[in-house]
Amino acid sequence: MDDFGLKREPEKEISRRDFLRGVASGVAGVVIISAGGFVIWRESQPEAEPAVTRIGTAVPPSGYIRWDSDKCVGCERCILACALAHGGVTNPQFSSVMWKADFVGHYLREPMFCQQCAAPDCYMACPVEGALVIDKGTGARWIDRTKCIGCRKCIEACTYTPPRISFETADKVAIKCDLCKDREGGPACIYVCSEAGGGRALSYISREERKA
Amino acid sequence: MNGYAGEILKVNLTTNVIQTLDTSQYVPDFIGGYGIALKLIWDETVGKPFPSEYSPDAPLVIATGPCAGTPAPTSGRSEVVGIAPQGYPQPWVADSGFGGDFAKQLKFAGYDAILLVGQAPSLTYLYIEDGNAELRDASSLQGLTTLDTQEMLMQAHGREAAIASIGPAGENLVRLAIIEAKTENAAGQGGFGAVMGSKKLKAIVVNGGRCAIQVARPDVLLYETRKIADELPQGSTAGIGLPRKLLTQYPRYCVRKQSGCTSCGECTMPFQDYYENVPMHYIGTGMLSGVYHCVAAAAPALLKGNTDIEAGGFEIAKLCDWLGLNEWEMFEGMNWFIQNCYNAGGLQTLMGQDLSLNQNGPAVYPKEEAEAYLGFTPEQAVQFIQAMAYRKGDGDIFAEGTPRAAEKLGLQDLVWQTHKHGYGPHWDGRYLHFVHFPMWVISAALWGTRGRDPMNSTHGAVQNYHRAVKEWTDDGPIPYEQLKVIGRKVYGTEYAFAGWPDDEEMGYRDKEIVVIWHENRHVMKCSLPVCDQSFPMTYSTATSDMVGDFTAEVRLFNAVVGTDWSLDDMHKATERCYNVLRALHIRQGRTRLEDDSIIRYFEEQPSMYPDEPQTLNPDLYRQMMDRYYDRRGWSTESGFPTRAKLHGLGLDDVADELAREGKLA
Repeated sequence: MDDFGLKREPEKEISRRDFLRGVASGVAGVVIISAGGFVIWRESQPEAEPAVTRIGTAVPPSGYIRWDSDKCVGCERCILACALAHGGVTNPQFSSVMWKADFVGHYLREPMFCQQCAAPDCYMACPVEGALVIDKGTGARWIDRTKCIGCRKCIEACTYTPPRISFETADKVAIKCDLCKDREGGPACIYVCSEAGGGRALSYISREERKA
Repeated sequence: MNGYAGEILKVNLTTNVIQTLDTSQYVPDFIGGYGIALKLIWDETVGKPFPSEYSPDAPLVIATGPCAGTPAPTSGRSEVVGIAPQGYPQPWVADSGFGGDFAKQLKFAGYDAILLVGQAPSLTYLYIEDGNAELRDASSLQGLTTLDTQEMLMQAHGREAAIASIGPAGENLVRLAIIEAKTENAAGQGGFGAVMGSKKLKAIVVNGGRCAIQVARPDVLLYETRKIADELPQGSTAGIGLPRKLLTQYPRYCVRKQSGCTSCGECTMPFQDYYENVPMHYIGTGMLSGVYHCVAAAAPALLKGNTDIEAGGFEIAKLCDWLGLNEWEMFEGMNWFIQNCYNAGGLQTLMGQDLSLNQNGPAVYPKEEAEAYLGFTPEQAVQFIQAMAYRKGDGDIFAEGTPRAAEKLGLQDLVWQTHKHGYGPHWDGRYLHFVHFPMWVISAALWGTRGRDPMNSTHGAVQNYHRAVKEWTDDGPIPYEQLKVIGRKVYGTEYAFAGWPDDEEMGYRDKEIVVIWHENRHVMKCSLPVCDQSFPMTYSTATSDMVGDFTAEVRLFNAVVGTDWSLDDMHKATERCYNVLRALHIRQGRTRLEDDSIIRYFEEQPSMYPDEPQTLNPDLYRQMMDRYYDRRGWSTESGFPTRAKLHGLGLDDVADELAREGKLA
């Protein structure tokens, strides 16, 4: 158990099948998960496949992208870099970085990142085997677009507002931060975040650092 | 198509017919943005009498380029190109630009550019969303400020919508009317707000969509974008010498710094000061929030120079934004003219009040910048700005722009002291920006052939060096001697900036090379698009020879579009665009005589450094410009392009049209 109260699984990639072990059956209604002193309340999805319920299963922690509001100058390039690194195209639809802007009111310009939650509701909500996967290296909760069926359940389940998962309407798949697990040089958003803005506003916090 | 959305929207406001043109017809030959816009305007006006600025068939283009919508640093620029009401004596075809997110939203909606022609029967706005466009009734927006217009349109179309709108000044055809996007991004110079007003187009609203912009070499682009963003603080005025005193000057109200002089998307440089809850004293009650930097921060020049955030400058800058007026011309052009007229005894009352202005104003030249201030009270300034926007009283006269107002007031003999081609001073060494010889010689030549104030996109030729050279600026990192090396490696001549402090002949040597280089760079930057304050990086504090990364823009273009252009290839494309601009000007009546009209200004208005040559030497200038026209492939007598030059650029159709009009050299 680590500080998040979650059992770590460093050796192999964890798919839904791993978590189904030990889950006897689908549970409807309110579920109480007790893990290492954390109590998490959530409602399961009775209309989903019963087997979807990964609830009650330990999920290993993940690294995440930390955003420093004092250093960010709001250039918005992280959003486009994300899309570019994943599909060779630019459009916010293809990016897993969200953007909050208000030019007329309080003049906010802020990127919003997936927090790679310790208790990932998106992961719990995904009804498809192997579509939402925990990366064995980084811990990233990522979406395999070849398996995603575009049901949007992960988006609906996301704790954050707006949800930190995009929906690509062309291919009808959900798009989520995978911490650029396959990219040499690490996350593209961090890579382009400029020194010029008074220091890099984005940094990668590994799961080991995160628990510290 | 790598880098481009693929389609150009053509909107006829008279007939309500909306078509699309294929972007691939125009690129890569015309690069994108500005280059495409010039070609669209040429095609739209060819073979018929050249339209006047407000005629329904006058085309107006808002365009962006291949780098917009990508992480390329500072690429969030929209270019506005058209027949500019501010130009004088003709409304010379000109360009202006604005930042924000309009450019990328337009691309994500599926369009690289919008070509507007015609005139709507009543006030209308253009709504664009994800591959669709339609004209909608804007009668409920009539008379609204740019801010209120945006608020109303966001209520209708969502907070995410990118909106470019005009205020009352644009609707009332004020020749200083701007197109405003968000709260601080404006296409300021040119008077394009009035062109929108003449077309009865109150706003353009864009909700981006699913158009995915393909990038040819994503990994290369990511690499370059990081490398270049990190180089910018070392290699451009963006990092060196920008007036830091403006930053967080009033910590009580300045809540944060953000990227951009205003807020261009993808800008990596934290220039922008955002002020919140500043008490209003002159334009209303309550609190005022907004950006107070760049041109806006020059507002005290209209007053007595008091820069205190509560002294009125901040408020009148915001008022100009709201009403849709060109701050640069208000604060740096028209104010100087009024000052000169007052001191010459030609203008003693305004708006029914006796004037009491700054008697030490720069009728000759200021010994220090503080003497350049006009001396309106804040109340007078507010009254004057409102009178202009609504064309009330004397404001109606000045709404015609400074040179035309001078004509009406019988003060045309004074206007040449402050205005060139219709535009007030800008990095020409005579007002506000006091630069050394021979930098103002370069500036003079840049002013010569453009149709507007050239400093929207040639800061790099004058301002950047002035702010970087050790001998010229406190803390400047580049020794003047090093400009020889930079000159040789960047421009191909070590005499690029030779002549300082007092070698007059040397001061004109090879300056035409620098001028052409930066004119081409102007086209490149406005076509990609990237920011003029950040590019080009001709010098660097991080390299041993202090030569900067001056091919950065070309590499960004190649990575996005997939070309393998060298700098020479890019220069040829920019020359093509610049020759189309020249041909448009020539169709408007431009000759070398008009180019040379700026000589008088530089000849009789001395620069402020008495130990250096202070006035233009007309003979040396004309010899330099002879070399300029030769290099450009234009006649040294008429200034018209030659057929050989146009043919070499693939512009035979342009040559044919000029020949038909007897305007081919």
